[in-house]
Amino acid sequence: MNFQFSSHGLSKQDRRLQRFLEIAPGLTTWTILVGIVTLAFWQPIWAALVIIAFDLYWLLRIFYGIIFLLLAYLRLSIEQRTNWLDRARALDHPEEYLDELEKADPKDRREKISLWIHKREVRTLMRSRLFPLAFDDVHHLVLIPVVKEERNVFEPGVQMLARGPYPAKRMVVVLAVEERAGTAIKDSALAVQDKFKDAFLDFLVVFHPEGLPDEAQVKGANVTCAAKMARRRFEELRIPFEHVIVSCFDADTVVSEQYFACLSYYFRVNPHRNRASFQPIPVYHNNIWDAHGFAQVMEMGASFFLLTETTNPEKLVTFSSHSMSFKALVDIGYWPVDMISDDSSIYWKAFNHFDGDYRTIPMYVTVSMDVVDAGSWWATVVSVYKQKRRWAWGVQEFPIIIRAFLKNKSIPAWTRVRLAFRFFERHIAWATWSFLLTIMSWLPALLAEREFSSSFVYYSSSRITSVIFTLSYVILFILCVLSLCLLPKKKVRFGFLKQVGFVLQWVLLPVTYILFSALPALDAQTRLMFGNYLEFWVTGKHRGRRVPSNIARCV
Amino acid sequence: MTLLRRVVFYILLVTYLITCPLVILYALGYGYNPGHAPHITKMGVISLSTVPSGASVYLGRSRFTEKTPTVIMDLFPGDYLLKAFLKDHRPWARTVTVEPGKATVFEDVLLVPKNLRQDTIAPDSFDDILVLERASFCLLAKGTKLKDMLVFYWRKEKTRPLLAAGSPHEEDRLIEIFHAPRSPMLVLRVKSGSGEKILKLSLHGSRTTVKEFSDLMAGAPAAIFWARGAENDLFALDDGRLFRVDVSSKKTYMLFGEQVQGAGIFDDRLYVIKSNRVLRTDQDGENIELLLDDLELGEKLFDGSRDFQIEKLEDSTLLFWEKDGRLIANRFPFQLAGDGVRGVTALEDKPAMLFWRKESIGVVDFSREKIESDDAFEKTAKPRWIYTRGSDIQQVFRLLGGTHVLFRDGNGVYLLEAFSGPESGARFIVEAKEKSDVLFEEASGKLFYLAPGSGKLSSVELLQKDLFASVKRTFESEKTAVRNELDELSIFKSRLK
Repeated sequence: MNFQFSSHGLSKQDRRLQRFLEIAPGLTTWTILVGIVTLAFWQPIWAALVIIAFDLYWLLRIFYGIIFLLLAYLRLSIEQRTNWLDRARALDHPEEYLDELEKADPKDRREKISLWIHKREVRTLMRSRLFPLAFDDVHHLVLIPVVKEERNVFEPGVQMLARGPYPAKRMVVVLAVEERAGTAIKDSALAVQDKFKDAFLDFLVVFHPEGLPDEAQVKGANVTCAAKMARRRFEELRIPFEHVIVSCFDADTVVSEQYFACLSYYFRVNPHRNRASFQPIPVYHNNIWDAHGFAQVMEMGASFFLLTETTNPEKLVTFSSHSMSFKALVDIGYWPVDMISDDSSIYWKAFNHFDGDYRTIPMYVTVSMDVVDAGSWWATVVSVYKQKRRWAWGVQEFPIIIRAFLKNKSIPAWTRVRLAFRFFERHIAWATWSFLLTIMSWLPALLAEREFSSSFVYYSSSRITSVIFTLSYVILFILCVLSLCLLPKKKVRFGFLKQVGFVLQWVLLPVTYILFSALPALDAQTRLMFGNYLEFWVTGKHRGRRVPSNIARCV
Repeated sequence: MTLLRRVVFYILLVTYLITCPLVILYALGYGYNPGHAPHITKMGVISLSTVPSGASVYLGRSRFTEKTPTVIMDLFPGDYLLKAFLKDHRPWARTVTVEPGKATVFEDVLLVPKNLRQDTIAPDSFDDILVLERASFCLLAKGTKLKDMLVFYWRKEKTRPLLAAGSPHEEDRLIEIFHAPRSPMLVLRVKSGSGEKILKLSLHGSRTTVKEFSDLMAGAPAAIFWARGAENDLFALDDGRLFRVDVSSKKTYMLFGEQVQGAGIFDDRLYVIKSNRVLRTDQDGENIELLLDDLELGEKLFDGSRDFQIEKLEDSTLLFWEKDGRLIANRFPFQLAGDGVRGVTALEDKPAMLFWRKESIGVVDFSREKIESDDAFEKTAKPRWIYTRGSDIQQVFRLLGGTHVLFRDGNGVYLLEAFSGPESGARFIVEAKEKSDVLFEEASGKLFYLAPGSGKLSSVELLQKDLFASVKRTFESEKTAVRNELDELSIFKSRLK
């Protein structure tokens, strides 16, 4: 269905609906927070009971998440030794390959599980009869947007592409540089192009002009411009769009060696390859040992979140660096050029365009990015806050998705209701949970007057809340262990004490999440509610004094 | 994986749907009573904290695992014998009635040491302790002459002479002391060879500066008061007239020329009872606001009597106390006690106060009671008698935020739990010298008294300096210090205006 995936250029009626839907998330969040505070004042017993019910719900929800986080981590570690390139190539002859797989003798339990999953995927492909094009025909378009990142931020990523095991000659790399970036950055982009141009099929540097009509200063506009230029190049090279997988990275993204092999495999094995996005696991290891503690915890939380989500492909939405069929990208009209959260909005745009026949395929391979580090502690606090607010600004998609769902009757009604509710609930939870758990849980007891403090509930609620929080420490412990497991193993300069410090930072989780998760989300929703729209803000990332951490651990 | 997710989801959903109502019912106090007739009943809770903490708790014959402060949950309604034991302290026991869905709270129960530590502080013999309300010192008197008076700083337990040697006022005899809470100044009415004099004594460190201002006063004032921080602006009540005395410029201004029945100063505003009306003015007697203009009610309450003292509580409640007479409040039902009130003391941080008569001690709590939907009439503040077995109660001190009361009845000093019934017994602490006052200050945790017979200044340690008590005392004294600073700041600000 053709739908203008934008909040601009709307009819009067649509504008009114859009405004109402912009108000809804912020209003709901504030109603919950103010409601609980009011209840704690006027009916503390009721407030205590509501909070107990919520705490229990939260505990079970976290427990549910942890189960699948562990499973996803297991899958990630199982696939560490997988030779994706061999698997991707072998799909040229799926029938014979399946016979080979049936006869294969896995060495250990890990290989056994990996092989079992792999066989299932190949069988699904066989059943669909939608066989992929030849391995040698698959081409990759890699888009790297640059705004004000210096050469030492984006060059390692390009270098990894050029020297990785995947044939670089089947890649077209585009450095999408903003015209406003400044001469030094433009020159460094051209220098990198000059250095690596022979390594790839082609290496373009595209300067995105400022102030194009209907565009905002957002990443989506920059990469759309670059993708349009790349389209011309593919047309010149006579490469069909169906043969191209586009990967849109951040400037600081360093993909693992296996990334493109893994991507090619999933693209080929999936029968719906041109109606799918491919989502790797983002980790923030480039500068993990140099970053400030709270920033490490926040980024690790983002990795865990996506790792958990990979176990639920039905509801998985693209996040940060990811890949997709170039044909699908061209069909839907590229990224939204006026929205900040381009990573998830491209999924929703495609989902609506293809009437629900669009999906995100999880890939158990990592892409590594920088933890926000703006130099000083305070500057990093501000940067992390603004980055998370930008992420939370994804709530601006809510009115557009709802408007699209209201118009698109081709998507089953239940699917539309389910997805809309999930989107809404997720953003409300983002802005409220930390406040409810950390502050509101104790509010009835703190505000207790004589009547409440002499009731049984006053004592029992504190005890129940304490028990629930004690149980949550088990979950915190699991998160600590997992975060250590996910860390790059071949550390060059840092030892045991640094790891201890890393674990201890998890103790600050409640405060960190209020300041850098709930508060930015509340800020974003409130801004949207009052029509105070966010301008694009570029996250500060520095690597000057450091050698990037070795990412050989990444799968 | 999708199937697994669904299975786990539904398992957890069912878990939640079962667990949540059960947990909420438990939170409300519902529990299964497996007695001879098993049934579901609403439970109660006992909360007990002691000073010092760490006492073993017994409920009936069962010893509770946790030590004080502790909460004993999940008790079925009924009577329980609750006991607290701490080594070297007298045991504490109460029969507690646990009510369904309610908490019975015993906060800061004071465990008195078995052997009270008694120390002699000064080797000299004294006739009396002259206690000054909310001051960091008191006076020790060996006689009635000013040279016989010592200043006793109870926090440091140090004494010094009231006047420097060779002071021209050494031979003056004390008739009356006037003092304002927390002020480092005293106003003395003394008798010398040349007649009666009024002296202003400023006690700063080891020095006392004396200034006479008898010439500014018409006669012997019934009361002199001032705002802390404004020690040169005094207010004197004399024969139904109210004067403002500016000691620095040596001028006297008459604010009200007749029918003044009592006055006080709070937050830089004067409160005056005049002609059975209550009014509030600025310190120059201008900008008068009538707080009670109902003459009929005023006559009924104040009855033209003089010598009312005015107190102001935390929540702006005003108390009007007639020495050895009535106790009146500006809150319904107005008259709290009809006669014989010997003293009043406010409870800090609460709109409540203690007052006492010859044989009884009462508490009035002005916290607003909520009007329940089935209440026909608004609940009013009523005196609650916490002790009625006294014979000659002279002094009352509050302890631990008003949970306990220390009082002098005749020569004996007793300790009482404020939440026990009026017929409950008070614990004897110590005997003081006949007709001499005692001093208790919570910040020191000690009771100061004159030993019977010898008249030596002695002390008994009631609140031991354990961690809890010291932290609490530090907090309280810091809070008081900050409050004092704020008071001074606001006074300074108002003066600047």
